[in-house]
Amino acid sequence: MLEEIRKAILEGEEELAEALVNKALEEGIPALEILNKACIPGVEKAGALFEQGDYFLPELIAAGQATKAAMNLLMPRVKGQEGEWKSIAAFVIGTVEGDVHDIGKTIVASMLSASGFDVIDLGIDVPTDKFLEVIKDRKPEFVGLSALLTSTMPKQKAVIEALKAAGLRDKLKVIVGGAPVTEGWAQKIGADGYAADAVAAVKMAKSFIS
Amino acid sequence: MLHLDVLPEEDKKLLHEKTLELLEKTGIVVKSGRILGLMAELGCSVDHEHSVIKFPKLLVEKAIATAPKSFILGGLNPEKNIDLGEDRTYLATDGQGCFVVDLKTGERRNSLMGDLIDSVVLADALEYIDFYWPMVTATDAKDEIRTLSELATCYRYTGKHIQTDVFYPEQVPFFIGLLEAILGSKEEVKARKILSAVCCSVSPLSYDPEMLEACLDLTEYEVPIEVLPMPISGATAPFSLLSTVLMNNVEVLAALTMLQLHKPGTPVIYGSAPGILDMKTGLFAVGSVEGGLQNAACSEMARYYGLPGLACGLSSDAKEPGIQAAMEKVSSALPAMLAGTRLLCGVGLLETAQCFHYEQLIIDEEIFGFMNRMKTGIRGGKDYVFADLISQIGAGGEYISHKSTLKQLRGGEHYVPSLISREAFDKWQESPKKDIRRFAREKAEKILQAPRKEYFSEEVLKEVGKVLASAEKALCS
Repeated sequence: MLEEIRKAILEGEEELAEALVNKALEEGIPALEILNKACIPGVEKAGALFEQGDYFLPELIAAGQATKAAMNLLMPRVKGQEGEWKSIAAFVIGTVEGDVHDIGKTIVASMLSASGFDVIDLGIDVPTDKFLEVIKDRKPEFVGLSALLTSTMPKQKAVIEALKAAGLRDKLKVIVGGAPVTEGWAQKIGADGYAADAVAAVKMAKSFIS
Repeated sequence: MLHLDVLPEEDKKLLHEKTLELLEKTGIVVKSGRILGLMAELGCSVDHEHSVIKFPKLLVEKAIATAPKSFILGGLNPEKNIDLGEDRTYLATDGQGCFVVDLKTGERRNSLMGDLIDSVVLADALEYIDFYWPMVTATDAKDEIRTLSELATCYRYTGKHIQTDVFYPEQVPFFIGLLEAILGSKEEVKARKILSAVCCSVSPLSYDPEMLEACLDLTEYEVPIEVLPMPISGATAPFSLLSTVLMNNVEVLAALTMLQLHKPGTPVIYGSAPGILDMKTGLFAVGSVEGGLQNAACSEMARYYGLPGLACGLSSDAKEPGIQAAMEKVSSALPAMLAGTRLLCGVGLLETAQCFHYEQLIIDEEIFGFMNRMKTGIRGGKDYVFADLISQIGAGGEYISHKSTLKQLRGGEHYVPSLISREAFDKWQESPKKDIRRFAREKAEKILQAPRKEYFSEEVLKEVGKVLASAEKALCS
């Protein structure tokens, strides 16, 4: 049964994963065991396959979504238990004000989510104040700022300045991205890192944690 | 499937009519008393004094009718058999260079048996290669039995079909002996068809008598014959591309007729390796755009007769892997692929098919992958128009995490490249793909470092050794 769940997650079969998890719970398999012996090995295997070039991005994302669906069923039952599962970190992400480019940021969000982050996607054309408001409220470990236009890149700097002014800059890591963005720009505006693509973003975020 | 027609129907008809006319009135030259006598017996009009054979129209038409329209080119591993009835392009290595760029030293030198072995081991391992043409000559082998010992070596290391030249009729018993030693019996030799023989014309309008005699002898064992003219626009054929195609067609049908008259039903492949003379250097250019067009036209003529066609494309006159090689390889091969050639050879060699480059063999995989994807075209019809999905997702959504994407992901809609880099700039700077030649070389090295796959049992190896020894005794003076 656990093997079937692991396989459903690895293959991104969301509904199947849910059905199997429900069945496993009915049969009395502890939620924590399902989590540790089926869900996590499944999604980790998907990540490894992606790393070695055998999996495509949509397959990794599907595995992440299946994991999430399984988690939703399992989390209420493992809360408070020893060895409780936690998301890696909270990650607020959005495309900066004046910029309506969506897909790159969405791919990064999907990848982060698939990799175990708790992602709060604010969408596109996100005003600086909105970032601040959510960060104050949710206290994430990361904020990701996407900009696809040279004309909106300065808004990444504006968010960082606003974080400083609010005394929040030290509380989280700022990662910037987008086609015109470079490592040099990230340094210049005082971001913690620049990620060229979704995989790099996940790697970078993980490197800050460990 | 994408289909290209470079010749309008009336030009194909015109080429056919002019071919019949030329074969009947002008004929071809074969300086072989044996073949002249044979063809006179079989109803051709023969001028013994000038060694000219002329073919009555009816005989040519009969020959086209008796030639099989599809057959199997077998491999020692039957899973690698080629079915010429299938609508796809099967790919072969290029043959036959006499130089190699040494994998370790980078030095350009004469090719040796060791290089031939490397090339066949690579061709066997590389999935995109369907059959093998000995890529380089083993200049260290004994000249009289060189092609035979090369062929024996190649069968030892590949399960794929092999085509090669048989230069003299005296060699035929030993080639057949070799196949018999490998397969066990003459019946198996006939049935499995693991060898096809290349029959080159000498443009314009003549055939090497000994090679042709050898091919006629091989028909007894039902060995498929690949008729392969190489007319050169402006040198061995008129300057106009259409006339170079005409020359190719005349020479193919001449050999086809001789083979069919001698043994009706012999499997024949309609080959073409047309090129142009570069009018500045006076050298044969294989990587030309015009060569590509001529190849496509010849592929269409093969289709016109319903014969399986082979085009020598993927060719280049560049001296090293790089921009020129990539440009020439695509333009010399893509038109023929789109025109529906069944067989295509050319991978791995540069310098007008003279020099084997290990990394080019790997790079050509990617080039072929691109072209093959293009040939597949855009799949059409209701099943591929996802209007409902577009409506459902609406504005501002994404498709990357949608089930339909996941479902189609591995169905060949997107070609997945293995060599080229699509990484972001920063990543690319650190990537092994930054230097495509080095990356390709490393891939070749990795294949060659793995344990070699062998296709001979010890018993077969012993039998093959006996054939080579007796050939050496008989042929080496």
